[in-house]
Amino acid sequence: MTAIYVLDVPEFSPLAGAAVADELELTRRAGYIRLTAPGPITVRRADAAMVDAVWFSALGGGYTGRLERFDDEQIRVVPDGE
Amino acid sequence: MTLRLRGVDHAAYVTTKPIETIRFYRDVVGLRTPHAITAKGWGGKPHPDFVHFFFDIGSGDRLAFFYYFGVPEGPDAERPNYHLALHVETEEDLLAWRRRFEEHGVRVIAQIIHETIESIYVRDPNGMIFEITRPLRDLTERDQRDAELSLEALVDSLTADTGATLEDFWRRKAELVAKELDNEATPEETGQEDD
Repeated sequence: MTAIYVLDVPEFSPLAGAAVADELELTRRAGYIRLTAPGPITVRRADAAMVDAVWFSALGGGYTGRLERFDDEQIRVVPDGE
Repeated sequence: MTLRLRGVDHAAYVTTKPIETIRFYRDVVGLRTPHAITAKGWGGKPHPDFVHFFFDIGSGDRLAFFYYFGVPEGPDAERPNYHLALHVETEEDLLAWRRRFEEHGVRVIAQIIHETIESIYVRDPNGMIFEITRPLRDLTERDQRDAELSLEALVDSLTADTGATLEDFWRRKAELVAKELDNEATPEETGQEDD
C-alpha cells in the first residue's frame, strides 16, 4: 500500500489532480487530501504545473511507502519492499 | 514611486539543534508556529534537504530556522548563516525594489515564487542575504496546524534516530496526518450513520 498526503491549499492541491495509480483513492478531509493505492503512485511535474519551490516541497504532508524517485520531473512512491 | 517597507517579514537562521530549538521557542517562549515547509533537493549542496520552520514573534514578524538533514555537527561543519527578509504588500512594491537595486548596481541574486510568498534576494556588503518579500496569500489555521504536525514529526524522527533523513521525517509526518484524518472521520465513513 502507498499513500501521499497533500496539504489542501491552493499551491499544493494540484498534486492530487496529477497523481496517477491503479485503483487510486482520494479522500479530502481535515485540511488534507489523502491519495492511496495498492501499488505505486506517480506524479509527473508537467501535469502538476508547479514552480520549483512548490514542487520540491510537495511531499510536505508526508507519504507511506518508499520514495523511489523525486527529481525535477517526477515523484514516485512505491510499496515498502519493492 | 515611493519605496515602501512594512518591517520584518522573517529573520532566518540555521540550526543544528532543531529539537532544542523547537522546545525553547515553542514550549518555553510559547510562540505559535504559523508555517513550516520541507523540501527535497532544493537547498543546494551540501545540504539539499531541509525543514524551514517559522515562529510568530508578534506584529506579523517571524523568527525562522532551517534544519538541514544529514549535515554533521563539529568543527568542520559550515558556519551557520542567516538572512533577513523585509515585508512589502504588493507585487508593484516588490518590483520597485528590484528596480532600485538594479539602478544602484546591486545584483539581484534571484526572484523566486515560494509556496506563500514571492521574494527577491541580494547580498549586503557583509555578505548577508537580504530579502524583500510579498505575500501570495494569507496564512490560515490550516497552515498553522500543518506546521505543528511538522515540528512534532521532526522531533519524533530525530528522537528515534539522530541521523534521520527527510524521508524518515515525511513517513512520520504521514502517520500524524493520518490520525488527523481519522479523528475527523464523518459518520458515514465510520459506519455510524443512522439507518
